Amino acid sequence: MSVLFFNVSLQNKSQENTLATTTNETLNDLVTLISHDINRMGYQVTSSVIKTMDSNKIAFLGDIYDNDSMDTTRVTWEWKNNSFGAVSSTPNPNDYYLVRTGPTSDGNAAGEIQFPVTYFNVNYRNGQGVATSNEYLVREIEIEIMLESGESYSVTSRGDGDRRYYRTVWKRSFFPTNLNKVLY
Amino acid sequence: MSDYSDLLLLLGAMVAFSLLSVTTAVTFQSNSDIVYNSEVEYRAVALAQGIIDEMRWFTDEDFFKSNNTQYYFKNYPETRTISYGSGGNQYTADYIVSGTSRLIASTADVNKYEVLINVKNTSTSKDVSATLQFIKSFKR
Repeated sequence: MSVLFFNVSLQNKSQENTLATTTNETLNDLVTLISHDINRMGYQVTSSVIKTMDSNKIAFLGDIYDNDSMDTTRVTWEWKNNSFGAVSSTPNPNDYYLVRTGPTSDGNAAGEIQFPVTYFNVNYRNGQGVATSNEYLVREIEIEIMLESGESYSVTSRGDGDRRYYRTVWKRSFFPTNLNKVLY
Repeated sequence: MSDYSDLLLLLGAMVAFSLLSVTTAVTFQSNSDIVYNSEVEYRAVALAQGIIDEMRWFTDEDFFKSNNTQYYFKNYPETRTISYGSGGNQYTADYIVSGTSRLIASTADVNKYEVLINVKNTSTSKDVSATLQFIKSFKR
């Protein structure tokens, strides 16, 4: 009996650690990409920069990559937390696709990349840190992402005990250069 | 005699199994600690990056002078409570933010300040902290 329970406990703990590692790696990839995009927001843009300002969708113009043949392109990050965006490839019912539409290769300005996330939120603030809906006054963009593992793990030593999805979260404020330099 | 040897073998196996299970549990606990601490550090770094990003755009040099009444870190360290999740109430974490600014170079044209931001979280068994540095220049 002891050996049996030990084996089950070992499996559950291994599964939890593996799910934690993969979930954090996915978050890191997502954070790297979104940070790169936000920091290039407005680069080489002479007209208005931000095209959509919603709590779960942001669209803006910018020359995202220097080493391609494309000039300024439109980048959209949208969290589709409805039936159209539900992730069907994992058993996690909380997953919805966060879709990035933007340059993915030279010549392809509107490629799509999808990330299953469980929460995505964008806040827009002016130079005094107050929320604003005026795109010309935005100086700070706060982004929050919550991710869960696609598969669940058991938290008890018994085989099919309470099952959980490993969850991790990240939040950061950006002050994009090309939105702030007008005041500098 | 054979009964005693069987018993001794059984005792030895139980001791070995006990050692194995305890060692395994300690190893897994250590792995879990590393994972959780890494996550907390990741979030601490994000907070520090946000503070530096904001300070990049300060135009008043007085914010960086430690002997000035406008010194940005005058009332530091301070505790910032960050809320996560929908409605901002699924998870909250306290971070102790401390910072310093010092003049590191002064020429005829430029004053340069070194700013260090330290963000610490004490909710884990070992404190997790992240320190970031940036250089801010002002024309004289």
